[in-house]
Amino acid sequence: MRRFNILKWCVYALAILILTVIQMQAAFYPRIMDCTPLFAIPAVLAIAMFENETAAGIYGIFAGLIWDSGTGRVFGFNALFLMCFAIAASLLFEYLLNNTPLSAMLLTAIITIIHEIITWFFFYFMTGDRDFLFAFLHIILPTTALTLIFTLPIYYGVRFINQKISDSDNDSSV
Amino acid sequence: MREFFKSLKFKIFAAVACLLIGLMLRTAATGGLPTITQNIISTIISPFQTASSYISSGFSGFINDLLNIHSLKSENAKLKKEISELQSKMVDYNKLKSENERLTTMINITTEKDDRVYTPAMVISRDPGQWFSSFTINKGTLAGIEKDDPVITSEGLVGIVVSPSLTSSVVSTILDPSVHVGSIISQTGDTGITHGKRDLAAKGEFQLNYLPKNSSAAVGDIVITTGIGGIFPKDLKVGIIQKLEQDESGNSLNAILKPMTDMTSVKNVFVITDFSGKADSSSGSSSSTSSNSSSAAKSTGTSSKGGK
Repeated sequence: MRRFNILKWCVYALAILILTVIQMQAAFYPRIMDCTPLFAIPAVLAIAMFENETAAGIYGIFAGLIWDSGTGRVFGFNALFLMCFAIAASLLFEYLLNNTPLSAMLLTAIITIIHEIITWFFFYFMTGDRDFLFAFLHIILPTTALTLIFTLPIYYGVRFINQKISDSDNDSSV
Repeated sequence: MREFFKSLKFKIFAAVACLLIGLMLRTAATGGLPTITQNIISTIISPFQTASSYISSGFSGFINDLLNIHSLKSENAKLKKEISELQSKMVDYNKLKSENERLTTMINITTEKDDRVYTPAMVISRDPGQWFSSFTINKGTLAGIEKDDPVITSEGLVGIVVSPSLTSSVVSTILDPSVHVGSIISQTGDTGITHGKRDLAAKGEFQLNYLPKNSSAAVGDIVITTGIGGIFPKDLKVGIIQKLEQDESGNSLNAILKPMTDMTSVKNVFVITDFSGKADSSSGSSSSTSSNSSSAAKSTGTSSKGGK
């Protein structure tokens, strides 16, 4: 059982690593209005939906630190953001929400919009750029739309990993 | 749910959150200089980013070749024609060059030596989204790269190193609002400061401010660096004027520029790690103690850093 758990954590870590690195490669995916999708958010959220809050928090920090290492802004911002939202999402799915693809898409949209608004607030509004409408229409909406396109494949991917490894674990126990 | 907030796990996560806030404050306070954690993570991630960059450029190159086969054919024919024209010009060039050398020796003009030290690098990742015009290159402090080193391509200036780690560095492009470059219009000699604006950056353009009201600058003029301030070397091509407009106050002119290089597709760059008149790094770090002063330091590509 322990062997399968380790395998599962490693596969999740690899998936997070690949998706977070790929999100910084423009050639891999379509661009809308020069914006790119944020794979790290749906990936961490999907793990949070299938695992407990500890795993969600750890993978949130992991994805956030990789993301932060490729950006020129304050280091730790994405790690803190993803950790908090991953734990919150995990708790929500444990106690309040049903684990469905629709809820994954809804929560991804909410978290992406919050992430983009915080980014706008700290890095633009605070430095004097107050044009929220432009930011919302040209950056926040296209980024969220693109992220949503990739949410379902990532959700089903994580569900497949979770079920496949759990099945193998059950088979080996029998 | 309450059990979670009373558990040890929650306390550990709260401690991690405090640690992350500390890291954020430290990065902000040092104006982008990497922390040990960032250095370690960047070093681990860098090979993955490089591999991923090779795959993505190969993939996009293959798709582009397939899609643009007709335009490539016509471009090839055009280039062949240009080569033959240039070859005939080379004859004149060689004649003029030897004449120039002869005259230079006669009147004892000493030519300025290009003492720039270039470090070639490859773009391995880009900041996702469109908030920041930045990318990561596969060279860092181990290759002699420092904060505020200029980054160029063969076409012209691309940006500036903002966060060098051991094996990789984050570069902010000239489209970024925080990057200011002291510039001069080569045709007219009018000086100004270029910087990014978010709405212009969406179109791949940026702005040149504080031009004199009576400037005779025109669309198509080339903007180059002044070299004053010691951050950017002199005479690097910055952009081409696309449009001129009055400043809101009516006291000066603003020019909309197109950079010499397409920032979304740039792959290979050079970092200028040393050049004649470079501001010494100790003054650079002392003026980069916060993110605001960091951008001020960048803008002193025109003013406050030690002069050339």
